[in-house]
Amino acid sequence: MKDLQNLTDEQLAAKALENVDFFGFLIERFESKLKNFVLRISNFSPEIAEEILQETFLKAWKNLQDFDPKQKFSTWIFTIARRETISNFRKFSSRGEDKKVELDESLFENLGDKISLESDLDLKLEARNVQRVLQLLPVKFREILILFFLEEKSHREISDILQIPTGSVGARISRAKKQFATKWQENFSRKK
Amino acid sequence: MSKLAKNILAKIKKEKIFPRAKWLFMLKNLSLHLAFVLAILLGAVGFAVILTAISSSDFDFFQRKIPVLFKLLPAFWILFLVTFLAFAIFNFRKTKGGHRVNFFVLLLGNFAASIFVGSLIFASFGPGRIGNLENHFAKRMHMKGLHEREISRWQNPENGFLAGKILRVENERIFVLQDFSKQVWQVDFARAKKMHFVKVTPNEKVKMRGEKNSENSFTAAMLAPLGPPPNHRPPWIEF
Repeated sequence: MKDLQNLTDEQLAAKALENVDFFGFLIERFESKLKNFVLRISNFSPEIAEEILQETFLKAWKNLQDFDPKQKFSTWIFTIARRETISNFRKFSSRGEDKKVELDESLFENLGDKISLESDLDLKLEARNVQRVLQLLPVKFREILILFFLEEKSHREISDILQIPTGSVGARISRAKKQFATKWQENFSRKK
Repeated sequence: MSKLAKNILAKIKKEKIFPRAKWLFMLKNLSLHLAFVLAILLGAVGFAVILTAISSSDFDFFQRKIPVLFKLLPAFWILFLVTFLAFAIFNFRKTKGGHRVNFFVLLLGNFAASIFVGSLIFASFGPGRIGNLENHFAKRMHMKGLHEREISRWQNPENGFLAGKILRVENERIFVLQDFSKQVWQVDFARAKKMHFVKVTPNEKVKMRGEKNSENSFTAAMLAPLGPPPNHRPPWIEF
């Protein structure tokens, strides 16, 4: 068990091809990270997020031979999770199951710091507001803010996850931040 | 192990789900790369035909060259080039890491590759052979090829354009020509500027700019071979 902890994700992925049980350890490593990611970009209910997660891991298993060890496993699995979430948007939004807003405190702690929002207000309230503002943004801005500020992915990793040119990542983050600030002003500044 | 991990592993084992074979992914990636290369090559063929059209566009016969260029450019082959450029970009984007490249860099790179390979094709085969192939293709597609377009451009004696086959050479001033509507003309070429190594000999196909004197008499001011001869070199290496 201790040995397993020392193995990198990429090494575990290689071992999973020899023994499927190693794939279980990979699932454990990424389960909560991916669930948070799916919930943040989609705002689906936890049950739906779990369905998406299951589909994500099954797809990852089927395509494990396509994983390039030069790449980070986390980037690869985030790419699949994101694709699964996006493809489920239409399906679940038509059932009206994408409207639940979950409280996500870490959201405010990270995002708030980095975009210099005032932090002397009640964190829980602000976290909820940040989540609401994120939900007002188009998916392409929401997901990039989440990946950069919350998942702390590099530009290269974001480029791989979102399948966009590396050079466009910075510009999109900057546009997303501006949109976030505008929406924040519109929705919360007047109420303070 | 977490509940989710246990469930997934159970499903994998129960339904005997195996990872897809590596060769399948390699084949997919290889076919994307091949499709990309093929698209570049086809785009290059399109560019070579455009060069052929430009090289036989008779600029020397016109004073206002830019409007003529736009008139003479073959729309089909431009569309052909653009389509395969788009197809090449689409395929490149689907390859591993292809998304990382900026769209404009990709567009310019692909365009440059098509221009380079197209110029090589043009220089190696020459406009004569490319023109013949294009003609063959155009016939099969039931559309007007470069050669047919050239003929219809030059079958206009009222406006000073005439083309056809030399039937015989009467003397140093006059030859007899049959145009593409089978009409026979007496052509005075004494003061004509001879261009592109035109030969005034029987059976030679020629085009000329000049003036219609009467129903079957024409005075040529400029005279050139019709269509590029097979050994015609590209314009930039022609002396």
